[in-house]
Amino acid sequence: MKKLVYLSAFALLFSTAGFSSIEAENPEVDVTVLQKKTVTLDCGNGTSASGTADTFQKAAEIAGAGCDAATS
Amino acid sequence: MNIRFVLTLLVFCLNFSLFSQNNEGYIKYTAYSGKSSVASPPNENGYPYEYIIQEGTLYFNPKSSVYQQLQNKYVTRVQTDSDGNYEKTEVPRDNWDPIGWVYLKDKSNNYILSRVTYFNRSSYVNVKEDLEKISWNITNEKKNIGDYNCTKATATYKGRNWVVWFTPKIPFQVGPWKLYGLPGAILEAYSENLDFMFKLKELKIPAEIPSEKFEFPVEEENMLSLEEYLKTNQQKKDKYLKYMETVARENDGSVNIKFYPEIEK
Repeated sequence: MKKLVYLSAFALLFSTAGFSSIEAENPEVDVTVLQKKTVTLDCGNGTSASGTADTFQKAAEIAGAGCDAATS
Repeated sequence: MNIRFVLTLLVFCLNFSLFSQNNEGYIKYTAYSGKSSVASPPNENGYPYEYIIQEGTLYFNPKSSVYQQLQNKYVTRVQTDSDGNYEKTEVPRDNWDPIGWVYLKDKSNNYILSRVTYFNRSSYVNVKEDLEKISWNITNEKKNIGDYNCTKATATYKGRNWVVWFTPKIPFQVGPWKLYGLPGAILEAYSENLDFMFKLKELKIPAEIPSEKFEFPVEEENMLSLEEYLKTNQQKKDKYLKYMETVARENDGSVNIKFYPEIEK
């Protein structure tokens, strides 16, 4: 009986230590989701391009390239 | 003797001239081509939401007909972004072409000469093809267009289902674009999904048409076959898509391209 009590106490201690270890390895992290920007450009020349990138500038560069490339 | 001969010749020439003039005319159409692009998606019925609207003129006589559709001098540019901004502007077309699209149907020699653009609606190319017979289904449906009682006809042609309204009152087998072959002039035509429409704007019969209107407006050299044209058009589209994917990668982004509907598939 005494042996069983010791075994239970040991198991409880071990599992607590285990959880503590897991918590230590996974601290709270602030996650920022980067919203992608989209620019759609229809130049009236037979195509329409929609560019998506991290910034409006890059998205516009992608879409704008479509106007020049189509007519060249 | 000589005087009588000259007079007879003069009378013949005068009659022939009058006959020719009475057998010539023109029909002006308002031509609509749907955009159905990323910036202008189809409406809730699946039909184009926005159209490019141009003017086309069909010149005809008993031997041939020429349909010419002029480019607009301005193009409509639409820019939207994911913040909800919307800007629509009219900008002058850089490479405006004074001739535009031309389709010459020569019934005597059984061919069509076309001056058309690739998908970009900018670079022109000349195409020669056989005048293919269109299998029309003439219905009993009638409606009036202007002063003319018209009959409805349908056909599948060049990859699209066409609905047209023609009038036997104008006994010429002519129509806009490459459409022809009905017992009367086509006054209205549209593809079933409304990507393309031609509506009567004005007509004059008889009319005095300058002879050069019945000539192909550019030299008939470097003619492509229809197959070559369609193949090159597809190659140009593929090249364009690849280029745009490269531009997107260089900007750590992605791109979605949509081509306008093309009248011929």
